[in-house]
Amino acid sequence: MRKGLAVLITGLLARAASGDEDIVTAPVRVSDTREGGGAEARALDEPAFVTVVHVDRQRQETQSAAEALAESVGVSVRSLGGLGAFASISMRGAPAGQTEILIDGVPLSRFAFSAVDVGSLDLGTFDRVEIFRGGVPVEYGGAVLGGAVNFVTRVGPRPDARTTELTLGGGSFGAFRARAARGDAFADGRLRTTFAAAYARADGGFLVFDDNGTPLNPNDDSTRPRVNNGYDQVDAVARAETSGAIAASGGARVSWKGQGVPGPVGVSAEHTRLTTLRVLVDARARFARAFDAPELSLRPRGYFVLEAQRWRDPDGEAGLAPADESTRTLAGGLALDAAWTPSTHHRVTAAVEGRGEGFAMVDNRQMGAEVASGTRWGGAVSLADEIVLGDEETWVLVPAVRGDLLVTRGEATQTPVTGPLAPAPRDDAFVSPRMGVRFRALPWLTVKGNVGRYFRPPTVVELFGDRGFVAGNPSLHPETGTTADLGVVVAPVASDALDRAYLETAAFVSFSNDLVAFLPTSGRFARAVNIADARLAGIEVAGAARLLRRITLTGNYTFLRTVQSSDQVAIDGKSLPGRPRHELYLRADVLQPVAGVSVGAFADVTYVSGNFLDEGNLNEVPARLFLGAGVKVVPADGITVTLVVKNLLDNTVETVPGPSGPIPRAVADVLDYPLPGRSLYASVDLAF
Amino acid sequence: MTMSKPVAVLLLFLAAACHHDPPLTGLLPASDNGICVALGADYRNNVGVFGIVGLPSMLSFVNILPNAVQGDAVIRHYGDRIFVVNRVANNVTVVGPDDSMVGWGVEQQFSTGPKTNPQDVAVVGDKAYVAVYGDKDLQVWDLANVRTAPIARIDLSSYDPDGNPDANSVAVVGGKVAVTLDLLDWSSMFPVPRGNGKVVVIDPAADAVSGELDLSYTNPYGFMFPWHDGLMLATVADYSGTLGCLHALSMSPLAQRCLAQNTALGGTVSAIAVTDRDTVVAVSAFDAEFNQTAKLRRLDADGNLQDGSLTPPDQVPTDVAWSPTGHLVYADTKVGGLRVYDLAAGREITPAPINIGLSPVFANGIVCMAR
Repeated sequence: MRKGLAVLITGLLARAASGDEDIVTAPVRVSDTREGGGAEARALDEPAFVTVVHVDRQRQETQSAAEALAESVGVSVRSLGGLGAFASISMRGAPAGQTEILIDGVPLSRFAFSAVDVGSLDLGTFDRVEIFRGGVPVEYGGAVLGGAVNFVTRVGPRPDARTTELTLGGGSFGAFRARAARGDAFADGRLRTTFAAAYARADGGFLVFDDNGTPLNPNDDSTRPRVNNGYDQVDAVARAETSGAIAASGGARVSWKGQGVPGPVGVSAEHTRLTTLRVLVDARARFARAFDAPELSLRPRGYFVLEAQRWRDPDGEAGLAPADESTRTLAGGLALDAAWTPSTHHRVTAAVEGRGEGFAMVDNRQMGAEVASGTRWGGAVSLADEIVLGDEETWVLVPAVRGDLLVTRGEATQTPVTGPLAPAPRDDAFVSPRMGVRFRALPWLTVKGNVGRYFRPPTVVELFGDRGFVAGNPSLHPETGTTADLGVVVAPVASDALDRAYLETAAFVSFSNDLVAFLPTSGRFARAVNIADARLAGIEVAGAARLLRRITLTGNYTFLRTVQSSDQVAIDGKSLPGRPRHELYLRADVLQPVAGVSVGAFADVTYVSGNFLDEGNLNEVPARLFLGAGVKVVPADGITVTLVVKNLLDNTVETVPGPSGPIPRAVADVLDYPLPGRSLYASVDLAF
Repeated sequence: MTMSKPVAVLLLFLAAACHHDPPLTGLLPASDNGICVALGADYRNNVGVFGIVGLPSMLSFVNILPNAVQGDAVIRHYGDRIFVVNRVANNVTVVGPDDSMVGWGVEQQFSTGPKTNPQDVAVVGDKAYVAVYGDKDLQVWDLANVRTAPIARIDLSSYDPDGNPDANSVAVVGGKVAVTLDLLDWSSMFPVPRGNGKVVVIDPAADAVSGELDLSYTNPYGFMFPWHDGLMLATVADYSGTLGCLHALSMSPLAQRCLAQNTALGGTVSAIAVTDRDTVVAVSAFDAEFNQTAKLRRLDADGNLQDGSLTPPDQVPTDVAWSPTGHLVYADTKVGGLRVYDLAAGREITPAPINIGLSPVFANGIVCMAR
């Protein structure tokens, strides 16, 4: 839950001190006449609750995708500590596995493992991140119980027409990053291209409090550098898009990451390694006036995703046994949308999709023997109607429905524990209806609401096991649930003193059924089971204001309450672990020319209330407060120098109750993986 | 029956003001003449809990020793001391009586070393013998003067070609220390026994091996318990229930025999409770889809398996301990709570599962004693 350095974007408003307009994306774009305009106009128009984080503007300050997401309203991040470490996100309190993660609209596979490691996504080659908290478009699927996050690549030159960007940065714990990007426009802008490459590394050797695995014995405590906590990552992307009667876009993205997995503090692992290779290729087109019908457009699209990982634990430091396993997930999909727009106030979109996924895990210590595998074929149809009512566009209604059919097959699970298990074919059908509504009460005030029913299908490992310590459960129910939200957006007319102002608040509720968790059995292996239902409810507030075009104040607050319902007596009625009731983020930016040089400074504060590490709500993490600050100087046009300090108070040790008084413990989000202390980063960005 | 924290604190103060009874009377009614300690675990988040249940009141208190238990622990008691073996955290936590309102406190906590994965502890005088899964040595610690390292290490590497014999359980009987060895091959994703399990006997006077015995099956998994003049232990073999048995071990001469085959038991034994009259074992079985069922079964004083089950089929008892009050306390993992069985009445007497704060650990997480 730690939140590090700030980004300027909060809630629907993205408001940089430079005064750039920000974009609020939303699924509803009924007519060209309704597009354009400022962020406030967009936020006032759209039913969905979407946060757009402009990482391109914050790249100098924000070191990771996890940090960028953590500072957004309604999003919690749990990290295994430090730059490049595994991180999962929870949106509005939903389990991490319920959030769809997409890159340029391509869903990353959650076939093998439900939660995507957002720590594996480097921001160096992205332009913005769209966070759909409520009102997820049907094209992003039905498995969006916890929302969706879409990482988007910018194509073409920068908004200021510069085409080339270079970044060099570095800082504490061996952090280094380099980035080069080129965006061009040809044929009067009808063809735009982007090539970008980024490299990032860190050794992650920050000092940690180590209790040697004996929290009640202070005599063997020490402070020492974290080991095996570094990473190297390379990302490269090429994209192109065309505009006109036939608009097309496509590209390829390759990323590779090698990282140490250091284990919990006190039980360190020195030789465990995880390497990840991810390849995405996608293409899409939009045919306006299809079949010479001006009201009809077609949008075919397709994609391919490869994700290969190798996990090496030669000494059995992180697991129960030594391991050298490789996993490979292939996914591909095709879709065709047909949009019929009979008027500027009405559009109907129908879509048909197909998707295939394959997963295989091999044991490299057994000559590459396949130990788990499975395939899933999915088909979906969806229908969405976007309706604008009233002369002043008072109402926007977006009813939609999506049907998914998933056919899952796994190889027979065979372990030394229970012998062979007959393959268990598994077919699932899901219907995910949803509805978004926007009512404009005043020109500067709208009321919005969304309701939908979504799902999260079981993964192949949950269903069929891995022939190791995980046994399959072919009878597992999918996680299903209903979410709803209702909120208000206020964007008053600017004045000379207060030239930008924005406030958004929303109440949300979610009812999740059949949450899945791996539980051990008395047979020495673990198995996925449907352990509980959960009710989640909360309130989000996000706001921003700019005074005198010099001072920008942004902030957000999330209140969250969760309750589990389970046959397990220790869990029933308890909160979900790792869900703080209060999260607050505030930031102030000041922009002031000094001797003709543009100088900006900022300070931010993150407060996370106490929350529980465990299902029984017995082990409580104390409340945390993190401060950050930074300076950004533009000594010459196209040159930006940034200096940032994170965790200014060096908050690395907290106290928790012990049998005879408080005891110290390293600050960690989960599983005793400590988080870094005070750290300093600097970067130089060139644009020309 | 779980008491809320404010009520518990109030009772503590009232009891402290009114009584000078033996330990834990501040928490439990004076009419309770038995007490059980049960460990709970949230394995996924590596959090454990130390809970107690009074008998016959069945009043429970959760988390009375915060952060003394991690997410994968087992428990033993010797005399008035309780030993929590925190397996993933690589430590042994010694709990003993003190003058606090709770009546118990952590006397010491020592690390068995990185990656050692301790499994069990046995005590002879002031010496604690710790079996570890991740190292070749049986560790010997001086409880009277705990330092940062064991006072002796007994090398068991010669019993396994990979140098690590996978020592699992350790128990004391007749002045000797017995250690079970799993003898696993870890070269695949799931460890496979190299052959039948082994019991090694240690002479605590010399801290040296004095005898060894091959078991008739593989995988001696779980704790050994004193039974008659020897020990009782179970082999789970391949967990299928078609191999393995409940063994009786005699120390002089060193020999073993099967009291009941796993086929007769209907599964594999996950826990053993030796009572003052007979023995009760928790037996687990898995169907073709890995769905687990379990039951408590009884053996008479001579170790003859009795027909039937003490528990109904809708319960999944995986752990059990005997209380001198004449009760069995067992973990029903289906509901994540404890249940109490009255041996004299021949029936379960728990009106509802007892919550100890987290789901009880799957095996070897309950100890009971007279109060």
